[in-house]
Amino acid sequence: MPDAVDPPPIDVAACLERVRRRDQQAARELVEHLYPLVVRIVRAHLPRRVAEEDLCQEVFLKMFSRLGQYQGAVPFTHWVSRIAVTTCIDHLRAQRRRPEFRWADLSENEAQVLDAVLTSENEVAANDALAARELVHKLLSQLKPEDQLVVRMLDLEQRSIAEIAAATGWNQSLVKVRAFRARRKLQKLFQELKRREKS
Amino acid sequence: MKSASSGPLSAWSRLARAARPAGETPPEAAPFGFATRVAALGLAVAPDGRALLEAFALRAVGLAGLVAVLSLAIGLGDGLWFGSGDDLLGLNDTVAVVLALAD
Repeated sequence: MPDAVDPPPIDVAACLERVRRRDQQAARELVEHLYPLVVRIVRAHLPRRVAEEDLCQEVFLKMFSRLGQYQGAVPFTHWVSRIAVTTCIDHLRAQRRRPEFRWADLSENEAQVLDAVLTSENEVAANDALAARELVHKLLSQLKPEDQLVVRMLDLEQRSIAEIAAATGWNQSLVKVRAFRARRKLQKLFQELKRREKS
Repeated sequence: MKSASSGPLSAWSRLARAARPAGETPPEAAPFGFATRVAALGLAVAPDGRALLEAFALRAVGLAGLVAVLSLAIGLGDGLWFGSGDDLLGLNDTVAVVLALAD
């Protein structure tokens, strides 16, 4: 999927130079320029109970505090997206995983969607997209944070392996291994749910 | 990557496809005042100490290696010097000389 968000063009190198000289205006421009990129990552992987704005602020504060480390080896947007990704993973790790995924925890709409994807070959109704999204969140919460992140980027955002590798800083083989592991775990979850539905 | 074609894995594919439209949100600018607040906070905080440590870690390892090599070289030199000193000491030892002559 192409990047839906194209930050307004600014001269990043010049802006960074000004930020290093503690120029507030340049720092503000940099935040405004990068906000769409950061909020997209945060929103896609937002851990429950953490406010979106708080998480974005945390990402930007990390960016400012580590600016001295940026050597220009990768594009600045990739470097910032890696900070955003690791911040989300840290928050996901801090959350306790649910011990078990149960039918009883689902809303009526979510149960309908799950039933539809498990039993029928029909597509889920378009107006059930929100319920499907919620169901996806609940299913993915059973996976490790890194695996959640990969499968979200791959299957929901439809990004390529190369794009995920660039955004996370992991090599492509590791991304593939994580995707394989995540999908296998999901497969087991669906099998388990199907078994419980029958019983 | 093996794609989901049948069975439970295709259930995930169908679910992911159904969930995609709900995740599509239009690009969004920063909320009013966010950039100003974050820029001020960002420039107010001191550089991350851990980050500074990381930045100097490689140089520190290099320096430690150099010191280790120098220590080894000096220690080896001292060892050789002491070794020869022991030999000399041995020659000046009357008991050792007597034992050597007895052999």
